[in-house]
Order: sequence, then structure tokens, then C-alpha cells
Amino acid sequence: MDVKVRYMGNVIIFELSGSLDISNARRLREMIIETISNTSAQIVVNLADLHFIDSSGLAALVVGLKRVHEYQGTLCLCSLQPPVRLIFEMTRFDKVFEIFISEQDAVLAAAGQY
Amino acid sequence: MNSFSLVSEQSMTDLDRLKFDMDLARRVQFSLLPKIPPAIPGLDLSGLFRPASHVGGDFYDFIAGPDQSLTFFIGDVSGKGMAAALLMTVVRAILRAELNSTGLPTPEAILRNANAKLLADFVGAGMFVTVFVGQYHPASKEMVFANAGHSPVIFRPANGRARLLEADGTALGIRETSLSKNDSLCLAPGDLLVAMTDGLSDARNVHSECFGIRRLLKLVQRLNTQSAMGIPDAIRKTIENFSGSEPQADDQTILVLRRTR
Repeated sequence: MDVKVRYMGNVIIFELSGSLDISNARRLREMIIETISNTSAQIVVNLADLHFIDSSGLAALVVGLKRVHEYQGTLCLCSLQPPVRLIFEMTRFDKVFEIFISEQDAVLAAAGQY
Repeated sequence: MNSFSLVSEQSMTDLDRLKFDMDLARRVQFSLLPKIPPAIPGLDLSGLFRPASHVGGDFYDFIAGPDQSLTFFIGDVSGKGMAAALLMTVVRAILRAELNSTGLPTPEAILRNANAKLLADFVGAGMFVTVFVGQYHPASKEMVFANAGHSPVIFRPANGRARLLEADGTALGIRETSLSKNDSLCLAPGDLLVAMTDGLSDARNVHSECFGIRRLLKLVQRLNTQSAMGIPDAIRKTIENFSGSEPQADDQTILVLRRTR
């Protein structure tokens, strides 16, 4: 999995590509936690190029979500591809996260302007 | 003896000790699984557990209750290996304790109460557990169930199409309250339930293609004439043929329940 981090105003955008699974979930978890601690807590995770996520990957995102809540922030997901969306729907993680079709809407939501 | 051989001997000793501990943990974990499914009038039951490494975070259980009822669980702790296995034992113990509380709690109540007890530990560990709980009542032939984020669970009516019993609540260990509600099915003779963990649907072949839910539905559709005992092996072999030389990446568990009469 590759992770690119960029900023749009105060919102931090993580772009994930490849496969988020037990081999790299810990790295993502630590990246999110580190970023939140040092800067803001308005996060968008763009999954447009992610083709697989397992339970460890979901757990990493849940840890990130809980951490942003501790900082009164938000973590939104966007641009889920059909196989990844299916996993979120079947495990009902679509009820846990705010999920948007476009990155633009997710950024507005994370910034509290949606 | 030079310093090199001393280091080698020490390393081997540590490795041997680690292997011994892992083998023991594996034996303990397998001993927690049902040896033989309980005899419930009108039901044919079986199960299979294949961890990806020595131990795993999946589990299943059958517990006979009053009035010859049967309560069964299948679950999957996020991640795999020793960390998942440790939490799996906690989840199993709490689910069993909930079941042994006053009366016969419904699947929804079991999940709600278990979530309250598990939440702090799972939040602390940054993990979660998906659980499907079913309860069969021989007198009414009714199966009541509740699903906390678990997939895939496939119901194959004797004369119908295989379909998923989808979760209505998220996994345990995430939210303050489990929102999974009771649902029910009246089982007819020949109806089949195959509850699995995502290590089967996510199994990959050498082209990195997942086996997927659609293939599992088709497979279960074809298995309607098999005995409960034969179904886990038939699924395992099909997945192994699909995966070829690709190693098993995640724990794989199957629980089978069929109404016979």
C-alpha cells in the first residue's frame, strides 16, 4: 500500500492505494495518530485507488476515527471503489464512518462546511 | 566453544522455546472448539477452524440449552495471530457467560451485553470482533439470530436460492451500544446455514483475485445435497484449488447447520 499525504486548508488528506491489510495497517494507524497529534484533527481518507481492505485495515481506520474524536475532529472517507464499498456495507462499517462519493464533499464535511 | 557458537545455541534455544509456546497455544486454542457438536433433534451440525498461522482470531461454538435449544456463535477478531487469539478467548468466555446468565437471553441481548463488557478491552487494543449469534428452537423450528458486522453468513433454503444474512449492526468493541437486532427464520427440512469468516471470501489466487462472495453463494447453492459434516471440507478444497500456490493469508472458519427433519 502507498500513502500520500496532502493538505487542503486545515484538512489533511490521506490517499491510499493498493491493499490495506495486516501487513501495513499498523503503519497507516501510526501515520494517522502522529498527524493528528502534531497538527489538526480534520482528516479525509481518499480510497479511490484502494482495491482491498481487511479487518486489520478497518481497525486502523477505527483507531484513527476514535483518535480524531478525542481531539474533537472528524475523519471522513471518500471515493470507495465497489469491492471496498461492499466490505464496508457487509460489515456495517458504513454506519461507523461518514462516507462521501467525492473528495470535495468529504473535505467540506471534515471542515464542518457540508 | 567460541562466541559465535554460543550465540547460535542461545538463538536456537529461544527459537525452540518460542515454537514450544506456539504449539502449546495452538493446542489450547483447538481445545476450546467443540469436539463433537451437541445432539439437537432435527439438526445436523459441523464446524471447521483453520488459522493462518499457529493460532488465530476466529472462533465458533455450539451450546445446547434448555428445551433442547441450540445457541451457536461464529466470530472473527480483527487481525490474526497471537494478539487476535488472546482476544478471541476473552470473547468466547464472555459470550458463554452471557448465555449462562438467567434464562435464555436472545442473540440480540447476548451481543448487547457482550459489547458492553468487551468495549474497553477492544478500544484499548485498537481491535474489534464481528460475531453472528444464532439460536434454534426445535419445538417451533425457528432460528433467531443477530449479526454484529459478521460476513459471510449464507442461508440456502432447501428449495431456493442461497442468500446472505447481512449484518444490521457493526462489530463489537467499537460503539458504546450494539445495535444488532433479533431476526428470525423458520427452518424447513433441508434448509442449510453456512456461516464463514472473511478468510474464505478474501482468499486469493496467484493473480491476486479474491474468491469473493458471489463464488461462495454459488458454491453453497451446489452443496445442498451434502451432509453437514462434508460441507466444510468441500468448501476448503474448492478454496484451496482456487488459491493454488498462494498461501492462506487469513484465518478460515466454517460453521454448518442443516435441518434434517
